[in-house]
Amino acid sequence: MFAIALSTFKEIHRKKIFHFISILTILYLILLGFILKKMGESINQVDGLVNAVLNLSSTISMIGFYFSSMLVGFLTVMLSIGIVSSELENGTILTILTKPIRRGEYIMGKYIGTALLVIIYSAFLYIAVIIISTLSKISIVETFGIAALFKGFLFFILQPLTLLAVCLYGSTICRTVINGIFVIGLYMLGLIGGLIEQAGAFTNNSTLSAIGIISSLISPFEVIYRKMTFTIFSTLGSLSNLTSFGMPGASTRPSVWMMVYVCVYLIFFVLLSINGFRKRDIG
Amino acid sequence: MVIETENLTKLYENNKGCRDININVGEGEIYGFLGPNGAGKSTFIKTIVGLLFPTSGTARVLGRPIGDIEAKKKIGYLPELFKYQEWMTGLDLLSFHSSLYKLDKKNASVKIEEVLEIVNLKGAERSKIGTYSKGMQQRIGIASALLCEPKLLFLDEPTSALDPIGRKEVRDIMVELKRRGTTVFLNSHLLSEVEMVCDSAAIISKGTIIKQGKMSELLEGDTVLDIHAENVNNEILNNLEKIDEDVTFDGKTIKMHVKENQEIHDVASLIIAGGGKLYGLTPHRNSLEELFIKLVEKGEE
Repeated sequence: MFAIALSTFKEIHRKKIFHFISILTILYLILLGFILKKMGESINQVDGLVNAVLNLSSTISMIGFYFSSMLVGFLTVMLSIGIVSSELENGTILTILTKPIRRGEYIMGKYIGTALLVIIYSAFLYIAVIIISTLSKISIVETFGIAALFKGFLFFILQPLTLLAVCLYGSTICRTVINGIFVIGLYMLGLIGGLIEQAGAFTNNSTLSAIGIISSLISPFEVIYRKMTFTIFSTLGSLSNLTSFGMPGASTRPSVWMMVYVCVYLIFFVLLSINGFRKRDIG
Repeated sequence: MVIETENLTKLYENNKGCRDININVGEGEIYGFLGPNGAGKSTFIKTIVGLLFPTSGTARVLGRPIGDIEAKKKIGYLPELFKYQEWMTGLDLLSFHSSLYKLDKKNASVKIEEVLEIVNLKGAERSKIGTYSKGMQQRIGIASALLCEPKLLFLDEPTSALDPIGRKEVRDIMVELKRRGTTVFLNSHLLSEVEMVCDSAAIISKGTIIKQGKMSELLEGDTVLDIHAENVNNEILNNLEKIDEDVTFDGKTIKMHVKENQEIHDVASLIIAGGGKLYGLTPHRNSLEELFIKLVEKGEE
């Protein structure tokens, strides 16, 4: 399993898409730094403290973590849509599965190798966003608790790891391109579902809320992001409901049980991948 | 027996594949598996090495059931259509496959040196596989299959992409492995190659084995006679048909098969007794190619 994980890790970090996303990440961080610096300067000129806090928390949440989260999601999808299917398509897998390893080990190795790289990338991005925010002298950053930041990071990586589990499963049952379309569609469903749920809460419309919740159960990626921002901004007290993208003041806080559901969702897809792959004809 | 199968069948949804395969491969022999494209050769190998699940029947490889992890430690496999990770160097690939065989680091580096020597890729191991020629890719594939010092090596069309020199190199590798006691299961449509190196062979057509046995037995009993004669009439041909119903006569030469040496004498007597003038009679053994074509055509009928 570790041989597969190590090989997967090495393979991914040599891929062109990884280099492309690395460049994109650096550009993104430069842009974020520039925006936050300008925001920090303008805050100092605003008299109303509450308005400043509102603007800042919203900015950090929306620009910093939201787009970082999307970037990590994008990287995960791009790196993992062909995680198994590409090896099936080019025949590489034929020489691997005839070696003395179990198919379950192969699948777990693929998952762990990719997960490791995604976690390292996520940690880099997460820390970079916090450092940039701090350097921009945004006072609210100082109110972040270390524990909240750490917990937030766990939710920050939970999203790509869940996405990876879905990609892995898709990759064991269909071709790379089809898997890509399927996973991106599912991810989009989560984002739209999140907005619908917020809209439902904003307008007190139970039907919209129900649709949003069902979408979130099918595609829980946006919920994980929301949980992350609620965790990081928990120190903001009553302002913590600003932490969602789209409709400030209308966001619902995901429950602990929802996070338990997400963990079960992740494990379910990994096990489904192992089980399905164990019975599959190769070649 | 290194490989034993009993009515092993693997059928796809379109009903193609291989069915009721019964073979026994002894230790240390080179076993040829012959058949036209789409006959089910690769399906059989993939089933035996555990990539495909059999529809019915059983098989034991190295005394263990298909897919057994312990057996896989001593099995090498070179697939027909495959691609290695192009971003790896030859050395990376061999290190990776050593770790899949769970060889320890020290043992792995010794084995890597050894297999590089066998496949004649010393000096090219630090180049990326993406830059290798087809022949080199095939040889690095064989090298990775040899890392575990296999007791059983499956080679699926190992020389189909190679030039004559490359083919000879692979044949030499097979002979050397046989000398070391390795059993080689060779899938090939290159009949001359099978004829040159194999001890036993099976011919498969439309998913079913139509003939198998020791190489000498397969070729024996089918002596071809090229007869140069004149005044050959229908009576002579009718009599010759009693010996070989597929006898042909093009106006100058009679071509027919006989099973025993005694029949050569009978043929000569029949021609002379029938009023024919016999100028020449050349017996030669059937080549594997002739046998193969004849059997496959018969199978298709």
